[in-house]
Amino acid sequence: MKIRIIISALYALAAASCISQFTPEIVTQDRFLTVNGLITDENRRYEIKLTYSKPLDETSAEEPARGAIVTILDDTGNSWAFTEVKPGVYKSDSTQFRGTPGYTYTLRVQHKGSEYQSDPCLLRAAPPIDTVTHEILDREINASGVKKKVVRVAVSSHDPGSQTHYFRWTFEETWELHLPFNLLDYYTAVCWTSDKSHEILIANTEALKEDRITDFTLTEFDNSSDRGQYKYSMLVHQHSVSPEEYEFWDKVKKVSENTGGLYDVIPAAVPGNVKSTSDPSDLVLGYFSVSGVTSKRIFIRSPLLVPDLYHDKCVEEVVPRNAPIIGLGTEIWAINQIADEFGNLFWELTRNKACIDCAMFASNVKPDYWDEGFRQYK
Amino acid sequence: MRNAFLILILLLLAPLTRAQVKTGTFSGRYSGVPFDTLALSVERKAGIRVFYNPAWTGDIRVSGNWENASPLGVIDRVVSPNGLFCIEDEEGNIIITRNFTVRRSFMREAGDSAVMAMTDTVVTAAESLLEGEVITLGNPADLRQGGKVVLSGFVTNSATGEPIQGASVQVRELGTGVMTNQEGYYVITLPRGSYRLEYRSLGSHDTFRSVNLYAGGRINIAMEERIIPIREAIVTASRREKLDRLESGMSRMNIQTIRLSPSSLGEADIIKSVLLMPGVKSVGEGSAGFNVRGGSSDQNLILLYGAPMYNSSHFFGFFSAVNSEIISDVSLYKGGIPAQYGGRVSSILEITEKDGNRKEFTGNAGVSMVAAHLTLEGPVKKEHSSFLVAARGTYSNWVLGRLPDASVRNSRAGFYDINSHFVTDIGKNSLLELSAYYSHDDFRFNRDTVYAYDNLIASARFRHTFSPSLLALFTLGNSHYRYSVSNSRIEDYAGRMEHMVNTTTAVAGLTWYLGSGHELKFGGEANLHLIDPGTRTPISPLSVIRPLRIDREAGVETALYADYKADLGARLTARAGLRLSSFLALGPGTVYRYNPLFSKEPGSLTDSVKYRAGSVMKAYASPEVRLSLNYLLTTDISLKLNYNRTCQYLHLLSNTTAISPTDTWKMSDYHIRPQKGDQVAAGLFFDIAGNKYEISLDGYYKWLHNLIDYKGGARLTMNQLIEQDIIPAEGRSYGVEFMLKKNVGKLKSTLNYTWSNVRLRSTGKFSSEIINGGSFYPASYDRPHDLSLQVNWLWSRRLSWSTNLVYSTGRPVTYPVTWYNHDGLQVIYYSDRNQYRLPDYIRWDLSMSIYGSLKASRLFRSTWNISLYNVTGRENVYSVFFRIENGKIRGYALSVFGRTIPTVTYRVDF
Repeated sequence: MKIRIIISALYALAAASCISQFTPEIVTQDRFLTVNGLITDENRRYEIKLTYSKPLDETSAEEPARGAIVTILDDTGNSWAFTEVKPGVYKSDSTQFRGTPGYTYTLRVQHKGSEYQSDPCLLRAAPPIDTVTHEILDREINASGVKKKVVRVAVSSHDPGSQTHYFRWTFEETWELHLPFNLLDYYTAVCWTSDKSHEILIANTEALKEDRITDFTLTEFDNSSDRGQYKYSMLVHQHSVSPEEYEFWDKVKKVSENTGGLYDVIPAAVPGNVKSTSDPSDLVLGYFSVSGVTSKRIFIRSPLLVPDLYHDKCVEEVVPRNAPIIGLGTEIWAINQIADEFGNLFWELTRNKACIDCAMFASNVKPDYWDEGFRQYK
Repeated sequence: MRNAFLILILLLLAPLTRAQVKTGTFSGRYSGVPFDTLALSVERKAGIRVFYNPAWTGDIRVSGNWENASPLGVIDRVVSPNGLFCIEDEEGNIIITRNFTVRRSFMREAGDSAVMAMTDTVVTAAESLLEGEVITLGNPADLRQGGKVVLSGFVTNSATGEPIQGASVQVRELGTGVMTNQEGYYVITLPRGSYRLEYRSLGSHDTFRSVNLYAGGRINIAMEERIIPIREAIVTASRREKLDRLESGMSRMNIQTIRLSPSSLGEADIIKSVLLMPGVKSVGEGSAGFNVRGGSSDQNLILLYGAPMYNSSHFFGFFSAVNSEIISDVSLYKGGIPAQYGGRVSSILEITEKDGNRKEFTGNAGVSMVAAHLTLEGPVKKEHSSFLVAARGTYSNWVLGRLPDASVRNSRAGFYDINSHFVTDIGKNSLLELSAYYSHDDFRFNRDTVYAYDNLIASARFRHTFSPSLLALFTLGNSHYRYSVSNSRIEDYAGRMEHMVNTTTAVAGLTWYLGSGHELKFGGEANLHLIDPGTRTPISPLSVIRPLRIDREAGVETALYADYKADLGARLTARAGLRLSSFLALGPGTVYRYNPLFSKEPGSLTDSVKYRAGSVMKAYASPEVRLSLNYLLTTDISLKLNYNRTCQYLHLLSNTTAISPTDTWKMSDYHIRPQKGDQVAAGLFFDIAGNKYEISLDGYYKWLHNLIDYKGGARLTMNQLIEQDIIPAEGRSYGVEFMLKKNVGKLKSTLNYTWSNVRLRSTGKFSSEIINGGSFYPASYDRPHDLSLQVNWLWSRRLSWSTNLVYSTGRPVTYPVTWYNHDGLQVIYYSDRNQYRLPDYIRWDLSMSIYGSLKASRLFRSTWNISLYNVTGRENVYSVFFRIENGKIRGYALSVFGRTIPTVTYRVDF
């Protein structure tokens, strides 16, 4: 809600509001079975993840729910079993099962003697994505009029049959990164890194005359990351979700966007669509999603000038080039060769292997669509 | 509507002043001449007529020497020893009577005109200005008849002519007394005899009159204002008024008190001052709305100019929407609500507006941190009518434009409000008031989203005195509230959403003084409510926004009431009232029916019934019983007992922590039943050391029925089937309120402490309708301990200090219990509502007022007020929110005024 921002503006007017960190004293140790699953009409192996939710004070990884029997049923009496491929991760057999628009699917989980079942979910076909566009905005960042370039990526779509109404998007972004050092010939200096969407991206057309989405913002990034430096690609998935699933995401979004403002909705539990068949008090979190999916990939070439993000983080020491360096190449690496005004050469050293080998934190394998995509793009 | 309003303002401003009739004086020397001779020369020299029955004056012989005397004084001197009385009419003509009249000997010399009225049984007295004046009503011969007669009159402020409410009129010989009502009117039944009448009111000098009461009559008193610029510390009522008052939970605060209190942004604020009263709380500073004895924010009826006010705040709650310059005082009824008031469950906040000065033109202007105001008032026809016009506006756009954040800099926030009020006497026994109020707020966020909201209230009130014992007030008013939110960032989606609520109200209220402390108030009211729940329109030709208008709601709310008050012996006063309220939800409209075996959801819809325009879709009626008792345990201690039931047919839909200007109003309908409240309250009032100190102790228990709560993620705007998102709830609240007050001396102070408990419970049958497993949970405004201390120290005649100290328990909040990862999204799961509390709230404020020259000859008087809000800069936590960072939940606390806020306000009265 914009009102919240307005309120912060008013606080700023009083120049007195402040936000401080605060450690709540919460005593509960609740953990609940959590379902994370998605059935679509794409031809792939679908995945149902069963984990336990984490108590507030726990930082460890999620604990998987092992050994469950996971089955998908449709409304014509068919059923497909999923097999546990990793602890808590259950996958379908793509030769056996593929979601079909118009059918209704139900998830059944049997775990530790209890049975859980989802509400029946209708698979709705998604209309194709019309366009995924990007634009570069000049955004003011302070009072003296300093502006910063921001890349905004947006999606547009419409359903001529006016059947969709509830849209949800997810995306995977991949970009090329270069370690900006001149001694890395022997190491991996060019990599591709990926990320997933971390926000709930939903829109509905209830209030519109047409089932049309125009210029819905998927993400924005500026030069504080290297997304915009070389080549950037985004694969957008458009989901046609049910009104119930839309409502679930909408509530989660409202609750998670609370900023403590005056007009925040009072937070409330957002139940999912999977319930215990025997014990209503046995709470299951998460959501079993069923949706038609259409996808579109876009390519963006070097939209931003990105300052060197690595140099300060990596360079730990500067030594004359001819000095002996113990451990060079195993514990310490020379990443840059520089010269002073007299022509003396120096090495800049790092102890962090990620500074010489981006494969430590990204992939050194170029995605197979990469060159072809950018060739078509320009 | 707006045009009508402009015309009204023009009318109020029109100068209608007319010259006043002046009579001549009389000089002459006589020795033993017949009365006829004197009368003739008075008539010639003073240019007036003298009317009399020669049969009564035949024996009178006149001797005397007068220089520039008032004709009335001369005639009076001559006829009074002969058992005759004289009065003067508006032209200065003198009428001599024998059996009934009023003696007002020195009026001419006092240089004031007389206001008189004659009825069948009594002669209305003139305004009596003189301290200790002996007034004779009726003929001494009537004393022999014995029995009781009715004495009545108006008490006004001598400087401005405004009525004084709550002035006490005490009969010293009998130890009894009465209080003036809102119009400054009092009436008392006394045995014939001679009495000393003592008039007291806060802010005025005490005065007394000696009266020889042989017949019923009227004595109007103009009380002189105390010129000390330092106002009373915290004043809620005069001494006798509190002791004798029937309601245990009623507080009054006058504007001087409100103005002295330190404020956060330098604007005197009625709602923030109301929050200092015991039993009144809010969710946090800077939030709109207040909670009275456990009621929700929409359960308070705010009456301005006799009409309901739907949004009482500017700037999303940072300021009250009512300019403090137009207020005389505010009364808050939280228990023992008299039967004449209704329509809301928890409280009535009645704003008594200030009438314009009837004698001279005055005004004031002021500048604070965010706003400036100008007020002008004065007579239209001197003594008979007056106007008051006040305007206030903010210049915050200027401030916003200088802030560093670009999105804030491109934002605009503005508000203004205008009040105009016109009062005129009509004949001797009637008074007409025409009032209008308009307020506007708009906020533009980052050039493309605009919020705007407006309040418009207009009313005409007619007060008529049928007889000294029968007074009537007729009100015709309209209150209109609308807001709109428009967005034009993407042309395809350019659209506007609007909401409107409009109430036309007609009220007739009569007060009948039956004598011997018996009093009957009765009357009725009819309200036509119209609500446009939501209208959505495209605002660009390219916009694909589908226009949608949620069906307009119409409803008629009526009430008939009677309230009987009786003095049962010297110690006991009781009042019993009944208010029959009813509500008709009117068509056109559609009622959707649901399968009662399921929660109201799209899937359980079974049927829909269409109603034609004007047909009754649903009817509700409710008798509301109001009972009050006051028992004087000793002369200084009174015990008050109250019971009241209240009903509410209009509801504000809000599922946010604080109410927002973009919440929508909803009428009771087929699915949404009227909210009801039952309250029992008991109070003890102690008057200590001749009212140097007072203590009140009140306890209450309250049941709230048919409350409205919401399913998680409910959609409250643009929702035709709102009943699907609403769940029924109930509440109970109880508490004890303690107040200790020092009323006199240079140091005045008030200590309030409230201990209370508010619990709500969802009463739905289905799982989606159940909150916290259906058990009681604390409301968001439940603050068990609430303490406030206000001190006002009169340092010198030019300097005063005020300080507030506020402590309360932190409000309940909902914390998360667990979280999980969902495909890259981190989802926090909250559990039961309001199971944790924020840290305690503590605040200390300080303010200093410096008054300009006190000399009366100065043309204007200036006042500086410097205040420090939150002196210690304590970061009181307003709310908390949670984020997942590095795989761990982090809590963040937000405080609104997290440091000391200094403000300076300058004000000049002229």
